[in-house]
Amino acid sequence: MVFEEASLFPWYTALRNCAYGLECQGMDRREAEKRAQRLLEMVGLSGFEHHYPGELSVGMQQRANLARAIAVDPEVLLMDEPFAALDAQTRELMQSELLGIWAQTKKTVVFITHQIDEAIYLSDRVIVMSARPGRIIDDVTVGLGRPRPLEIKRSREFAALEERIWGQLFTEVKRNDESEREILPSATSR
Amino acid sequence: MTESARPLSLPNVPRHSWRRTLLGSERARYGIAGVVVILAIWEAVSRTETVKSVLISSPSAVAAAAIDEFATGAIWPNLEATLSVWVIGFAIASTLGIAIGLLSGRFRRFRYVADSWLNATNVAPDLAFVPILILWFGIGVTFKIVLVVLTGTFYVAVNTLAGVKSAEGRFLRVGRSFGASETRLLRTVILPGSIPYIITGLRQGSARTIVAVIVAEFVSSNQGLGFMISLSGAYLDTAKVMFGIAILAILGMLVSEILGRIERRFDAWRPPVH
Repeated sequence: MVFEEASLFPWYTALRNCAYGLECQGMDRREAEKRAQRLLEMVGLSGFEHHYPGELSVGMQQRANLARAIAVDPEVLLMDEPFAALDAQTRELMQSELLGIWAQTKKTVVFITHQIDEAIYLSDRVIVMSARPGRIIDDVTVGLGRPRPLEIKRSREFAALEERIWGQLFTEVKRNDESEREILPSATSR
Repeated sequence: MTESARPLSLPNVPRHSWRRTLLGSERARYGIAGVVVILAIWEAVSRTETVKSVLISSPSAVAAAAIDEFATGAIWPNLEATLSVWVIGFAIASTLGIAIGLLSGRFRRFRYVADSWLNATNVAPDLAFVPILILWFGIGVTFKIVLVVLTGTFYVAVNTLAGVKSAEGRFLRVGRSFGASETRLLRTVILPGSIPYIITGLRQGSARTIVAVIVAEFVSSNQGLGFMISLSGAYLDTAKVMFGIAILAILGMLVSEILGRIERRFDAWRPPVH
């Protein structure tokens, strides 16, 4: 699991955080840390093993977070808006790095996001959900090849997918907004 | 190998020198000036007999009493008696308090049971227990230790409980999502998160328990700082009373400093507060 807020234990260093899951599985600490070390290298955090989360930037915290989640070698990785708290540039960077890491591990990732471009850029398949009640309103297969450079976001194919998803979300948002106005007439009368 | 790499990781915090902390800051200069001025006025009032010097003593008389106490070694048995009661009692109170706090934090029903008792012993003045404790344990060391335990446990337990409650849900969630056992959660999530609270409890408890020891020695004792103070008072030896108070103040500050150091040691992960 990778959550939106960096949920690293603030009282452990990046290395111990990363080794945490392995130790929970009964791996001996030394070995767990050795393996954690490799994963931190993979996410580009070598040299920061002994830093506490408070000494890392938000982006670095999320990398460590990701490393910790991958360390236990889960069947499926659930990422709940992990980049939502990052600024736009860092977010783009993290997206392409996530793809790089994914290419090495080939783990199935369920990634929750509000960013349409993030969804398309990362996925093979985008499932569009409606708001209250959360129902599936579309299931989009992303045919973009891999590896995907960041420039792919400006391709025509990408734009078409974005438009399709945005169209559905837009009607959804509009409908919701209207129904809310009906329930709350005072909001419009003011 | 990983251990040896550790010291390099933290940013270099400049070591503070005593000279710097004592005289360097404005705060320290004014603090010291305040003490010096008050002592000077005290000495003057006493020398001029504006107030009877036998009642208020004077800094020089207190200093003389201090020198005398240390030179003859008379202070040591008293200091030892007080300290040994306090250390034993406070160690028990801390252990008990932390245990009760942790259990209350983890088990709702245990908390319901413990809550009323903790509150009751807190609201009731601890010193009111003295007559009963003397009845039960006699006038020796035991009753004093029990009084310290009664007084101190509450502060440690209540603060520990607050710490456990504050162990944020998200960290517990993370721990559970990795399949950590309850004991591992306790060791890796709940305890580290509660340390600052526990230390606060120890701080509050240490101050209150020193008071408890002194009062117990007032009431019934033939040794200890409290005994020395109350006896000197009876003989109108105000300088020695003041000296005893000074020793207690220094003791209190020392304990507080030690706890502060422990806190910083455990809190290496806390980002510096600016």
